[in-house]
Amino acid sequence: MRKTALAIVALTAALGALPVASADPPAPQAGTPCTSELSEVMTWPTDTLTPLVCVDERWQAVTTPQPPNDRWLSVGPAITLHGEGMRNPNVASGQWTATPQEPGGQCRAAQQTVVSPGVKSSPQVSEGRPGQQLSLQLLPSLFSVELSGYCLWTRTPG
Amino acid sequence: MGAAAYIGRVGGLAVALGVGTAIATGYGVAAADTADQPPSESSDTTTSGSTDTKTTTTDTTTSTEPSTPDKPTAPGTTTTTVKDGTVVTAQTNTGTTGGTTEPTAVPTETAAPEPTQTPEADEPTTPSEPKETPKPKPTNNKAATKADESNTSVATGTVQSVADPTAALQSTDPVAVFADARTLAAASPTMMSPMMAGHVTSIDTPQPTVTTTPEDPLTAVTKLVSNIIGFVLNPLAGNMPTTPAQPPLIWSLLAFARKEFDNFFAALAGGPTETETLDTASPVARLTSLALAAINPNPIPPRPAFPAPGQQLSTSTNFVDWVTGNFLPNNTLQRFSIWGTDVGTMWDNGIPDNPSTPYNEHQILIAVGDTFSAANMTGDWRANTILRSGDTFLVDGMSIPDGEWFNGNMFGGAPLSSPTTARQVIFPSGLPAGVTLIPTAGISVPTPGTRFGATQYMSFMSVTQWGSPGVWTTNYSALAYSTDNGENWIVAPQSVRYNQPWTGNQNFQQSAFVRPGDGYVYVYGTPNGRQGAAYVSRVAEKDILDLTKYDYYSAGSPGGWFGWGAVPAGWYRNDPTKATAVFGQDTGACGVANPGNQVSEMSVQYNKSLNKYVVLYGDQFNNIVMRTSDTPQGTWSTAKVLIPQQNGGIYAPMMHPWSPSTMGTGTDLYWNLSLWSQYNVMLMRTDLTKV
Repeated sequence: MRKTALAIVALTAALGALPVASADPPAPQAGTPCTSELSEVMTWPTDTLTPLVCVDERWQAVTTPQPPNDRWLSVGPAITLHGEGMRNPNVASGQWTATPQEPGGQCRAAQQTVVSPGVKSSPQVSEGRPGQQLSLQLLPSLFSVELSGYCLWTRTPG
Repeated sequence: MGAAAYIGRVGGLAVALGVGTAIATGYGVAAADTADQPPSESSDTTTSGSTDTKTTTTDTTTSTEPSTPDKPTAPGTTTTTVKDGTVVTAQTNTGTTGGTTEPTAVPTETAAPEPTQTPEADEPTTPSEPKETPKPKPTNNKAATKADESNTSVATGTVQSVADPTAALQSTDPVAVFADARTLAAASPTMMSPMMAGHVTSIDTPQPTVTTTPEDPLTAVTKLVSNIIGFVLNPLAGNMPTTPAQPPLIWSLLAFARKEFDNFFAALAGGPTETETLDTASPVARLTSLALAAINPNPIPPRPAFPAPGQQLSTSTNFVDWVTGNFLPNNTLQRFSIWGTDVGTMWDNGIPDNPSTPYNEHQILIAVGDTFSAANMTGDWRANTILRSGDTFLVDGMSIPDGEWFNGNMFGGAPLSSPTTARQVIFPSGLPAGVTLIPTAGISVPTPGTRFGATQYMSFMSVTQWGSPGVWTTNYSALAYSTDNGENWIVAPQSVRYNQPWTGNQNFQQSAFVRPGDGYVYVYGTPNGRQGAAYVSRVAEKDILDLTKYDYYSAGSPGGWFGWGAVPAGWYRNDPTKATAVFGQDTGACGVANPGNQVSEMSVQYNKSLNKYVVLYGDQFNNIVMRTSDTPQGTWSTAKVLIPQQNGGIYAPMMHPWSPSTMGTGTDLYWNLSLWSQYNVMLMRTDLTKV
């Protein structure tokens, strides 16, 4: 009886932990659907060589270098994008806003700029409050930025 | 071995071969409809001049390549015998390039930089006489050298026919040897990292030699099975860019089949089986060791699926193999902490082999741009670095030797900052830094009296900002020089060309060098980015660091009314504003749509087979195009497309100075090409007879 109770407790705990572990949406893959609101948005799943872009409500692999994009989606794990300190930058420096895509979501950016050729600065971290937008400046001479959280990152025009 | 063992072994072989062949056959049928071209290997056989005789056995001969002449070996061992033979071959090749026989120049790099230059006021207005087209003298035939190499015998070891790799089965050699392309290349000790070498029982395998053993039924069976396996192991060679890579199961089955097959015939021949020969480091042992390495927690990743080695990307051009990357053949991650890099501009170091050293000093230097130790351009970042290669046989790729750490040897695979980390070699040196310093070209100039008798010059650009693809802004371009084979570099501040539109120097932000032997170094230039045309200047070799001694070529202009303002065609001293576009600026309604209308990263050579100057670059459509000319200044031909844009994005075609066509020994032109998606450098081959 005690064993049964322990098993039930353990199973309940495991099941209870599941929603937390799977909070992030599934990583987009080429050919999977995306919503029309994400049209022209790019994302970069881990372990893929090129980004994906949402076209005609499908994620499509980018096959050649593209100009810096003004809207990026991160789905949880950090995606690393390059700025104007690296050939074929993914993002332009300037004002950006990150919007959580789920209630209580939190957006985080860690930027590294070029100090001199071959030398990067230490990461400069910007982190929003849960459920709140994050406004941040992508720095000049940005080498790379890691975007994390289930968030849509949009560059402010001008 | 008892009869039961034979039965078991035959059974295992049958099962593995049956399943593997079934998979292979099904795969082949499925892919047959898309194959319009013959496999690249057969294509090579029929099209590539001096390399023809070895093409069909490319991978077999891979292991005979002089990939690691730097490594001294203990005398009296088999390895010494093999490598000694290699060194001899390399020495022969040393004398084949023009670089070491060019007129010498007074060394200038040791002079203190002169910040105040004294332009010659009377020269800018007087064009100097354009000299007769320099056409370098043909050098010795490199193909002959390769033939010698292929015939080089080793004192001991496996006897094997290059033409018939499996014929050795009936020789005195105890082990059946299969000339599988990829496995032997993979097993080549010259291309292994120390970590990889640790997995291999022994890498000092005696190399196969040439025999003419007649074929017999057993050999025929061997060949048949080997061919099937070989086909399956290299199914993508040719023309199927969309074909998926083989799943690991197939590889595993076929690897098992190959192993069983080897052991079966070895046992029949009375020789030792796999387990018995491990210590002898036979190719079978290598295979086994590599298989063991494959289950290592840190295995070497397979090559990227696209392009596949040998894959034909156009009528004239195929992908040979990777130069950089965390995979075979060079595995630059484990040996140099290079997961990814680009550009790969190459030049002959012009340093003759010193017979008193155990390694060959005559090398190709390969300058690369932003370099990273982890995927997606992350990890340890170096803005530039240098790789080296003494590989003269490019059919199977370009091998890079291991690094030489802290032992005074300047001829290792790369300048290092740790035993396994290539280091950055160009720094701002007090000049404006920008975000990176990217090499664009290099050249060697003879400088008697210096340490190695030659000085390396490298042109680089200081980038202030990267923009959309093909767009970037530079601070300046400048030269750095090295008198120790690229180990240490000094930036020459007097060579800086700031990117200022009123100076004319804005057209020389990226460079290409050619030194045809007339005493000049010709320096081609383009503006920053990929939207401009190409211009040309020249300078006496000894004055390469002195910008005031440069001549700039103008095609001339007729001027206005009555010729007012006319500019005669010719070379103008110390006036970059006089330079006019020599190619890459087509005009007219249709001209702008012609291939080759804009010039990106480029390389220029004198091609002794064509008896013409050749330039490669990427154009406005991201085609890789080629133009030719009888003189450095032109008139240049229209652009011919070698390959169109490829998935992933290609750029920076950099010609190899030891290409058979460049040397006048064949029709093949080898060149490096960067693939953005992989962010690594590939070696390409173009058959100039098909352009």
